[in-house]
Amino acid sequence: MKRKIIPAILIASIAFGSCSSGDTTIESGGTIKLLAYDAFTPEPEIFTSFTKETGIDVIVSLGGDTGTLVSKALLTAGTPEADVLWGVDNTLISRAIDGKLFESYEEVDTAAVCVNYDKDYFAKNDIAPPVTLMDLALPIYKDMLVIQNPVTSSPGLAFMLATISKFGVNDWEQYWKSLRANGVKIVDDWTSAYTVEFSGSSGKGKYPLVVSYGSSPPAEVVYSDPPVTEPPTAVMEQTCFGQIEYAGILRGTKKTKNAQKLIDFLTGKIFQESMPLTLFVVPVNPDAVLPEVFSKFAVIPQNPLTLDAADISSNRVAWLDTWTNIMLR
Amino acid sequence: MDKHHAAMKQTLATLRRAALVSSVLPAAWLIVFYVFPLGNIFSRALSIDAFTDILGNSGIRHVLWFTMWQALLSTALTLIVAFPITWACSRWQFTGQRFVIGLATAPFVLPTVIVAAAVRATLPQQMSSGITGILFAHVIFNLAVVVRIVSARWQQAPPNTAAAARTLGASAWKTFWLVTWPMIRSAVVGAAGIVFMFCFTSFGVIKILGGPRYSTIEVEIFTRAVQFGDINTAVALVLLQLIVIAIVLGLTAPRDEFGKKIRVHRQSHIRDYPRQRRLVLASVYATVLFVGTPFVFMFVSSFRLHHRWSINAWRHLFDGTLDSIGVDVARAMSNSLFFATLTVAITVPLALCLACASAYSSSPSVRRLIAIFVGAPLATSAVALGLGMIITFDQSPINWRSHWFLLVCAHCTIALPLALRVLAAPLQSIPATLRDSARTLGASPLQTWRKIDLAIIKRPLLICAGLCAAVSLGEFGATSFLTRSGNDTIPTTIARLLGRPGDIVQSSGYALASLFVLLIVGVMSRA
Repeated sequence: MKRKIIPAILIASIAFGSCSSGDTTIESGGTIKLLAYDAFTPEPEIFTSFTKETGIDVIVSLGGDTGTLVSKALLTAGTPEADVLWGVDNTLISRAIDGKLFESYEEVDTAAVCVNYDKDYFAKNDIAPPVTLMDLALPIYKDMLVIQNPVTSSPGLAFMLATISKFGVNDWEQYWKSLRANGVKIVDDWTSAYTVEFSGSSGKGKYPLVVSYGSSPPAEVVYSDPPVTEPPTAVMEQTCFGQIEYAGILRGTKKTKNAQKLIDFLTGKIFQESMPLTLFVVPVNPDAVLPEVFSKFAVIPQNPLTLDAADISSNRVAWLDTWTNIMLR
Repeated sequence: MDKHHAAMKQTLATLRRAALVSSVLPAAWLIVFYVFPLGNIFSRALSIDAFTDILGNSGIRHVLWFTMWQALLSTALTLIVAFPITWACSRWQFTGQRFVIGLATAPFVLPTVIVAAAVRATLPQQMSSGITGILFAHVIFNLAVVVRIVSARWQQAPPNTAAAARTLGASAWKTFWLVTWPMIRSAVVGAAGIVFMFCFTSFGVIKILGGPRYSTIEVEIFTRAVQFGDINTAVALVLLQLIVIAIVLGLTAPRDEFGKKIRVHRQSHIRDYPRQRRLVLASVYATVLFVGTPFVFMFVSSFRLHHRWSINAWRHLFDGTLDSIGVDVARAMSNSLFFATLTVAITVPLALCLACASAYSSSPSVRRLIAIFVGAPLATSAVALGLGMIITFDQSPINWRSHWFLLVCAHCTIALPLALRVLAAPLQSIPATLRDSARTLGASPLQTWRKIDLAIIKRPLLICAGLCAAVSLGEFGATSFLTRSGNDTIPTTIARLLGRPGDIVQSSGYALASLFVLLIVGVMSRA
């Protein structure tokens, strides 16, 4: 029996192996696949100029939240499903490096994850908006904050890391216990938190405090209907955690040259200048000029809370475990 | 005469040899796509400290505890809800019986994701995630298991024993407890074991209805591997889960022989018993209502948008509106159909080889080996299989992690045991005399096989193909691991839609789920 099985396996593997050899493409023109997180919403026709210049078509595919995106990419490191990956941030970059995910990678933007508040709500109820992380645990702000589950959401993770950065590895757990006692609402993703549960945005939900970005207020102005000149929301600057996002060429792609061209485009002036009002992040290219509405209303903290990438990498799973045990069990 | 006798013997010997040779293929398949991946998980789980770590982790202990109690509660509720209709269908005959049973047990062939979606559409918004929904979905899904297994046994219980007990003055309750219960007990226990196993390894239902708070071991395996990137804990959890399932199935497996020739007693037609009539019909229709309502709600919800009637959710499925959130419904549908076609094309021949080997083999040990070999994947969770495949096929020349065909391989491995079950019984039931007469009349062994065996199992083959297609179309656990961007199937797309906020997206999720129900019903009614 055994003797017959081994050839069968060999035949099977040859048959399957031959399917994969069709991928070799000559590197002129053609297509390139850009894998990004679900929230990747660039200007609709932004890649047209790139295609005109290089003859390369860009296919964008979305792979879930950042955590899932990176973990799934790591499971297939070396035989990637795309050529370029957009959106690994500083909370995950060490894992990506350890897992040899990239051939090369570059910084593409920065952002700040901060608690936002509904200005109207606090004005109407004559309550001073909270200022510090500690304030969020005060009884006066009971049942007001909605956050994302850090297991499934990258702003959720950033906010959890902000508290570890602020209170230290010894006291952050206590802080979360008091947040839980103060009625914090937990949802799976940013969209649910910001556009459904938060009272200051389109969903007109019940919660006047939400974990979002330092650049959320300009987004409120850009997307407002009817138009407004002042955002209805503001940022608690002391709660901001600094996020850096990277894009990289996935190791194992056969289209390295074209992938590099795309990376150059993503870090180039055209794309970088489009980012503030589409992705609501801060460009890293010094030549990129910020739109007025962005520079006027976005909060770009000078010294945001932060943690060492290697530190995050080695403790992330344990911290998430601890957090889950405190908040969800 | 002697010459004929020799020829007959030769026919069987030829068939046996052919079957054994051809069973090498399915055996190789299971070794590559089941034994390897699972073996890999075990060797990894046993070689790391993760196994001891997970038992010390209070969060995981919590998950284990939740998995256990929700499975026990779901099983108990399923037994209770299934009791009236099981009683009605085992003891009584009525017009439209088959149709009604078909309706009540239909959710079992639907993907768990769809059943969960239907429950979600039914419950009020604030209850859309939580334990109520989980239990509700588990009961609807598993009702079929209890009805099928228990009523098959109950029909064998001679009704006159119970009647005699009543005549001798025992109350209805006492009669049930002392006369009927001992006869159906092992079937009830067996059914409970299977239901428990399904609920214990629940994935799709928890993904849709669990929210951030509720997680079973199966979901935790996925979360650890795909969201945390913590493979070691994930493989340890797979091992832990398998141990629990093995214990439960070992304790609840029916002791007596299956497939033994049995006598089914004629049921009384309710038309002759006006007093019982109302009770029987009430039990049956209440159950159908209980099972069917969520699907009606789901269908209705797909036509609701911003609290108004609208067909836009259905339109948005195909007009490109969902592109912006990375959902391509047309692509997902063509993927699903393509995968299902391949699954049928691969699984049916494999199952046929195995069924022949099992039917023609003279040695009981070969049969038992095939039964175990093929039963094992049933007891293994799909998520475990997906994880095993990902960590196994990661080195050249079998570096298939990012290939769509690995997904098809998983679907085939999951469908194979079910497919075999459909084919094995009819093949075994062909009386040897039929083949003998064909041989006597001068047919060659191949002719005999074609004209008799193949002709007899034509219909089971069709059913088998339908079943394989349904498994592939609905598979969610392994698919969640193996799907890559652009390979989304209908169930993963439904889960994505329902996992996102927004009226349009949610209603589109219900629309796609409704469409899928129609598709599956179409496939199954053809088979």
